[in-house]
Amino acid sequence: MSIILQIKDLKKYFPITKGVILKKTLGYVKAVDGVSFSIERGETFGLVGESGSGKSTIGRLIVGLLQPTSGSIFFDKVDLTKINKKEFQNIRRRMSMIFQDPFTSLDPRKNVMQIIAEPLIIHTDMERKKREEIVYQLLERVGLRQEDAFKYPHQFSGGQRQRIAIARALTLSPDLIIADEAVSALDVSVQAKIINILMSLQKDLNLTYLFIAHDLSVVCHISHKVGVMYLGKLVEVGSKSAIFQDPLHPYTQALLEAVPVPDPNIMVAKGLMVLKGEIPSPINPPSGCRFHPRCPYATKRCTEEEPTLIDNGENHLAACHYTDEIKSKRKIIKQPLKDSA
Amino acid sequence: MRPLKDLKKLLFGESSELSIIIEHLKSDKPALFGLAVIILLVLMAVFADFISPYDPNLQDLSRRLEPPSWEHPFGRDEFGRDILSRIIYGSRISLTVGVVVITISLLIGTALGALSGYIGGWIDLVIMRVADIFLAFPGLLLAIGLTAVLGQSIFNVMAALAIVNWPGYARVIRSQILYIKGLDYVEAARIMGASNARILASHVLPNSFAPIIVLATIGMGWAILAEAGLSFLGLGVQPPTPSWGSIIATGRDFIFRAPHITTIPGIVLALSILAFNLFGDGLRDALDPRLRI
Repeated sequence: MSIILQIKDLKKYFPITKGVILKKTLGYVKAVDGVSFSIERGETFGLVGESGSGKSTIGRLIVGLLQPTSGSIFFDKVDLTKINKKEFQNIRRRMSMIFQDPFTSLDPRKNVMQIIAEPLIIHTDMERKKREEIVYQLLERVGLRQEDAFKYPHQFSGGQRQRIAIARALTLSPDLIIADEAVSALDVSVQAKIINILMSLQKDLNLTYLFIAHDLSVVCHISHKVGVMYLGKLVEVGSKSAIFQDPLHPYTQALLEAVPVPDPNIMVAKGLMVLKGEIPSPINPPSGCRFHPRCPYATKRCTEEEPTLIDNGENHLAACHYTDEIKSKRKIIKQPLKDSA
Repeated sequence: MRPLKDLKKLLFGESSELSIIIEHLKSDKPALFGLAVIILLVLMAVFADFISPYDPNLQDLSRRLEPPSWEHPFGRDEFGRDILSRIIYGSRISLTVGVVVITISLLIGTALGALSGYIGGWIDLVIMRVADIFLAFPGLLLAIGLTAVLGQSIFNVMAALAIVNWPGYARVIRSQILYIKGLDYVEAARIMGASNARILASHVLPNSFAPIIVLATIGMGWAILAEAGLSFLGLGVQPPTPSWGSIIATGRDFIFRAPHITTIPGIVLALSILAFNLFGDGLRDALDPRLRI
């Protein structure tokens, strides 16, 4: 397998400015602060984290909606941060994005045909008949009917709209699709259907997904690899089974324990680890390990020295000084998460 | 209706946007009424020479302020002129002023508002402060000043009214665009690689136009009345050339002795503004896919 997307030490700082004419920078929001990971062709990389952890920012940096402060993004060995607009336009054809809210991601004044065919109009000079042919095929692929092509978004339900958005993302047969909370706004039963569509499309078209979500059970179901983000940093990366059954970072453990379980007795038996407080401000992140103010295992070392991602075998990386101690101290009840679909 | 349908198909294609709009308007009774009145007014203005029963400027001082009669259905004014004829001829000035002022204001307002909202930054700051300056003056007073500077003619009146009127449109368009340009479908278009021009023309502007149509139909009435005000002060059309506004304005002096001079053109004015409003509402609904049945 070859690596299709590689991110190296990516940083995005949003300046906080005051005044319009004499812009004064008061500080920076460090939304993404030195993140590195890579995705192999045909696999799904799940990126999880609380709101404000910077996971969506990474998605927007990859598609070029935002310019990174520093670091590089290699797409198929091409550094996206170093190419000009014209070259980027060619790369754009090969990636697309699915948004969270299907009620705002489709132009209400365009019919389905116009919505799905737009990438073709922008990137090719294909004639109308040919375009329509492609749109009909895409509609069938995502489980809609050809008759739906001339309807407008408001005539569809949330799940159907998300299918339209998926069809639009597929129009140019991209290699990489970034799904930014693509199922979070949908009903649970609809979520399952959409995820199944995404998974079967991946199998048929050899797609690569960057699946950004906060719902762990969804991520668990769809991902091959998972990255956990906290306050602009990646705290743990590993294969799905490693992350979900043998989490090393205390934050990942806390996240997993926050997943509701059908039987409350199990939760009590597990000796719930509930996180204290809120995610701190990314303007002035805590010193040392960013998680230390909320971490039950934090020591003085954690407040001073920032941990780096260390490989714990089998490409299971965690950024914590005490992974070994935590591993031996806490016996995580190995209870594989139930697939949601 | 068969040949008409074929023609439509020939011109716009089977399911083109325009034919959908026409189809929708057909079922909208108030909008059709509005359109009918507008067409009637336009015909009246164009064929004024043929349909007006009397010379609008023919005076008969012995029969001044005469109330409506079979001979003069709308009565006579303070110089004994036939009001019906004056209203028919006056529609030329009034409709032209209304349509031209609104069109110019819309063009300037949309262009500057779109630039301001879409690009933002310095350009936004400059355009909006200029708009604020215009909005800070009482509109009619500024128009009087401008006409005084530009010189007295109906074209200058229209120019002055448009200059006074555009900031409102610019502000509404700007606020709409500020909201819409942050929506996901605009970002989706950007990710696809759509150019700024394409995003603005095909996604942002079409979605920001609904309140502007309503504003424009209301503005139509304002422009017709404002022209009357300027003409009354001797800055617009000169007597004896009739306009609806000037008939109403001069009739004010006789409002108790001869109320028909003000009320009848007033009703005609109200009716035509209503017609523009109804048609504008219908157009707005027809343009919005969410409201189509």
